[in-house]
Amino acid sequence: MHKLDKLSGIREEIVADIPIPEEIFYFQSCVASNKYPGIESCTLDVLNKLGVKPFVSEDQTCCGGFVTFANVAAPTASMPAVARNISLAEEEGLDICAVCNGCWTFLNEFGHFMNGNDEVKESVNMMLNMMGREYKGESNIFHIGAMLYKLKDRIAENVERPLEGLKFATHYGCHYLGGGKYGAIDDAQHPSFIQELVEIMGGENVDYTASGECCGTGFTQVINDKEKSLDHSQMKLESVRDEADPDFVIVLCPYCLSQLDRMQQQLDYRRDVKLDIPIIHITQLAGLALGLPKERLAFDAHIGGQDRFKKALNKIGIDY
Amino acid sequence: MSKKALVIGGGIAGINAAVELANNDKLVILVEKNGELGGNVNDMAATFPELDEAQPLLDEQKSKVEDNENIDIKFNSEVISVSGKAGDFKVEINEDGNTVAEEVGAIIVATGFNYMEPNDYSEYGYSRLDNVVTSQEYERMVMNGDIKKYSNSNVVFVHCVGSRDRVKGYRYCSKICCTYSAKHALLLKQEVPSANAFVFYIDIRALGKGYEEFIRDAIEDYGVRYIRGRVSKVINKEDTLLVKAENSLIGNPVELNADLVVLASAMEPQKDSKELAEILGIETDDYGFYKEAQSNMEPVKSSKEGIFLAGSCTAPLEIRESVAMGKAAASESLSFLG
Repeated sequence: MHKLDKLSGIREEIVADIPIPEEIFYFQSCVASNKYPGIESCTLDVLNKLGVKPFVSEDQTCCGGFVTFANVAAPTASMPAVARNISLAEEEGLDICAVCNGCWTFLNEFGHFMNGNDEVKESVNMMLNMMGREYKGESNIFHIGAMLYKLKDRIAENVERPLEGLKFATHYGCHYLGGGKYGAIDDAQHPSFIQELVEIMGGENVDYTASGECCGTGFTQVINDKEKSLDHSQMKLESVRDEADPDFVIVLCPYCLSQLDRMQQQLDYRRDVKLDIPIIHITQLAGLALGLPKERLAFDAHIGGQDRFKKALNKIGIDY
Repeated sequence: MSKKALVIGGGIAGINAAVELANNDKLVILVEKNGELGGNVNDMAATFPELDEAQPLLDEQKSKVEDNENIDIKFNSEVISVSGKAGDFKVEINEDGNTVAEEVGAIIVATGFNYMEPNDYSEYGYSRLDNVVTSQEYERMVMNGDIKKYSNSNVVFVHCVGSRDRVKGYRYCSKICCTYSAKHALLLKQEVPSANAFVFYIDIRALGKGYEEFIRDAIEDYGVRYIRGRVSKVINKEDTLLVKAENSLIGNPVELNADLVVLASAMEPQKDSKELAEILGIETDDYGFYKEAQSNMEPVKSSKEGIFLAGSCTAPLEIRESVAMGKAAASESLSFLG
């Protein structure tokens, strides 16, 4: 019995199908835009630097995922929101780039669902027609992580601030690799594409046991049973601190970022757990390497890990 | 009608078919794709439910074929074309690079099965983590003594890896994994009494004579721990493996440090089973196992007259049943041999 030729689980056929467009519909995320403006500014600047023009729509709303994930409304209730948002990109003839695992899964899955169910699609379109719109199901939805991986050669050519001497750990998040097993570019259990990007940028990868664990949000848990959510985040973050001790943890999802970042403060005052771990989004990682100014990286908006932020950023010549 | 018969596959089913025909004064061409006889039983340390050493038993079987002047064994060989009809088949065989033509009256297909490579089950870390092996690899570890290093260690056995899974594996049950996993655990406890054996199962399918008692003995006499639940993932933790699972009887998650994880990977048809079916002109099921003429009443007849089936090329089977099918197929083919 032969063993795998390569340990990387990257699904080359899916990567090959991702186009490198001149322009792409940047799908704004509630958590990114409101809690962590650095994700938004880095996405816009990084895409521009890599030769892909981001299109920003004033008309876009929330993906609709939060109300569904939190069991506030039936999935069908948010389907028109998904259809409307995708139709905005279709009108421009653009594919969509999502920066959040939730937005990505939600647009993908509900889009896929409507494309395969004419009855649902028709009834959703009846509502959309009242707004003078139509959902066709023509735009593809890509995750920014997959886009950046696709653009890795351009990233390599544009590294202005090599991340030498810095240690990076990863947290991929359930709703990209786990939820998107048909469209995600990497193996859900042994992902490696962020590590590959970190290497291209000159950083060092470090691993920890709980790297595949949920951030602790578990959507309803963080609302219904906060202690359970805290337990889980604590286990995860202690594994990061004790085993990897990274300068940064890279996440794909703003909601994971929010959980892992803000729970550090709560764990401190509720349970006296001391953590100092900078959690940043993959677009902020790209922003760091591509030389964006600290105002655009906007690490000030992060709660946890501020001492480590200062130490790490000083190492690569950023006066923070 | 030709007096000769063709047996494809020199595993335990093919060996028994060939010997049975030879004993009835028929000439047999035994085509084996590898350089040795024995098939999958070559990788077996012991049999169940009687814990006999498998290799001496197999050697005895092999010698019956090797010493038989009625049997012409062609190693490193494959059937490349078949024409004609029952009683008068014309067959071309690629024998170690040379094409030879033969005329045979009947054909017995005994090509066996393949252990699935559980690479799609990346949650178990196979081929990514050290010390995660398939049951086939574990049998070899028993034979070469590698399991002796697991004293005072935890060894975890995982059932149904690729079986009974319509998403990533096969819908069918591989039938014998429940019993051979008990055998694996038992062998461990016999060789290394200080080791702890844990078996994660969905349910126990002890579908054979003495199997239920065998598994019960493993639990009651040898202290093998059976946990009802699926393993969700196996990850590296410092020098050992961390097995995360569910105990569905208690309803709680389980975490276990393990030094070795053994995956009972599904028994699947040989990779080229459909190509061979095309050459022979016989039907397969959706998986690629060969289809019987009638599933209950004609278990060794293929869909084509004069071509018979034996062993695990029809479905996952234990040794005992493969042997029986080999002998039955030989008996049925006699009527096509002049």
